[in-house]
Amino acid sequence: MDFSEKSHQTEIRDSLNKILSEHCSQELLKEYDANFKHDESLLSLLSANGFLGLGLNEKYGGSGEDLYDLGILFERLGYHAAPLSLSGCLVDVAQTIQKFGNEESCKEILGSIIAGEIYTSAILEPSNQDPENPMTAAKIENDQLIISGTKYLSEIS
Amino acid sequence: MLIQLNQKQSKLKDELLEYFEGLITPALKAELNNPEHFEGGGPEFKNAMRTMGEDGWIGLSWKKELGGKELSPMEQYIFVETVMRTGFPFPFLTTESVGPMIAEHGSEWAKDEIATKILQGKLIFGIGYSEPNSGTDLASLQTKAIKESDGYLINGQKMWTSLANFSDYIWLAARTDFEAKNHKGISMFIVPTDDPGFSMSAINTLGDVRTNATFYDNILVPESHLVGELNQGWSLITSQLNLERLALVNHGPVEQLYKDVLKTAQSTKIDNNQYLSDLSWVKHNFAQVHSGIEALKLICWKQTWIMESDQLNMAEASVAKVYGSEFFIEAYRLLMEVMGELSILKNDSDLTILNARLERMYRTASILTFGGGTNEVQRDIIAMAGLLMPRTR
Repeated sequence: MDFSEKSHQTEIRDSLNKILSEHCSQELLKEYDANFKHDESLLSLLSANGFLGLGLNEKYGGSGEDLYDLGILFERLGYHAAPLSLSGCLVDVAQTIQKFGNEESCKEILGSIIAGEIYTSAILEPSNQDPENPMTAAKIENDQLIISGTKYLSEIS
Repeated sequence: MLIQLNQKQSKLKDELLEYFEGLITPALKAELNNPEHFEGGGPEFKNAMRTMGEDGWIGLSWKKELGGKELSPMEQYIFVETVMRTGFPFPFLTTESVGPMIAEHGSEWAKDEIATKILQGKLIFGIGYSEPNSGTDLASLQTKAIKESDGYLINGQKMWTSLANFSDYIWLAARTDFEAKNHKGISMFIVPTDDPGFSMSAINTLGDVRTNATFYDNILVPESHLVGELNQGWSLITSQLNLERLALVNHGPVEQLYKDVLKTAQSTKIDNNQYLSDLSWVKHNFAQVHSGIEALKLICWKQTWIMESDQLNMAEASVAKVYGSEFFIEAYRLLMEVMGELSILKNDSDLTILNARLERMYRTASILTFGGGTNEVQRDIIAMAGLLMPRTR
């Protein structure tokens, strides 16, 4: 048994601490809190430093499929109260696509997530308690997927 | 990070489970159902302890020179976890907390005569810390040990000396310097309970558990019974307590009971189409207990892993103790809710389920919230030593 962290994981935590403590000043947090906004500048900063590829395979531009690494990102975002909600994008979407998506969608979607594009998930529906039986429907018509329905509580959509 | 038992450790666990099936005989089971013996001390209990000692299980992580096998603290944890799953009242305070202190700090006599016999399953210790006027503020203790030409003369009174009714020795804290400030004048002694100056009276407490008040009237012990250096007992007390606090919350018993209740619920039909375990609120209760056990296991495993290379950390041991003891109460309550009214019957009824273990464990669980140091004090320790906040008292 070994509870010690790998050295690169401690490095991820240290450099995130550095970036986030410089970026997330009291003034900035107040401003975002008052306006209920999403911090685009922080998103670019994290992307530029490769943090959006944590937990994703190297062949799509990520830094490896270790979910512990990705956990450090969420731990630090929470610690610094960063005005950025990324679990929908980096977990719900990216990890699901990585596991179930075909090579083409992995390349395209994971690549653009790492580059700083935001995806979100749409799971919940009004008046429907059972996510296993969605009322939203997807039909194939003339080689195209036609989706119709209503979703709500989608994170930063 | 790699948080799982290795192959050898998993094999050890299986081997131990099989071993205990043979060890826990019907005669031993019957003895442990007798309220007088369910904390141990009966003839069958003593036999089982000696057998475990002879078969080399008690000291898996102990040094070879004392009779141990020098495996890691993780193997030792697995042994204690597995023996506690069986419901056997394993005297882990002796083997896991007092024993290691004597093995490390005891005199030659103590190492040869005491530590080795603990490993052989031949000795049980009671712990003599609290006094009528000194409990949470332990450093104010007044039991005296006065230096004489042929040893130390001990006089005083201790409270909550659990297991003293069948212990061979007391691990006793006594004041040896009356000028020094509180914790700087305390030393540790090994005191035999067969001395004519030793006596006790029973204190019966909740959960049918017996503890004792113990009295020390002019007991003379030789120099070899002093453990560690004179007036340096406080660090032995705190190290012993750290080991005790971790051992108290071993995840074995609660996980075993959870598994047994789950199995019962999965085979109890509530109507033609469903079992008790199919009800959504029952699933919720199981899920809560399950996740709590997983967290407790991680806390215990991490502490055990730290012991491979370092001393147990005071704040971390207190974290384990607070979390574990408070979780036990909640877990047993949730499991009793699942099993319903029959789970509150005591073991003298024909209708009891699971040998009335839920009822008994629920009643005894509260004891752990103050035994081994009250949880309020543990929270003070966590704040002070873990979070580096100012000392409150």
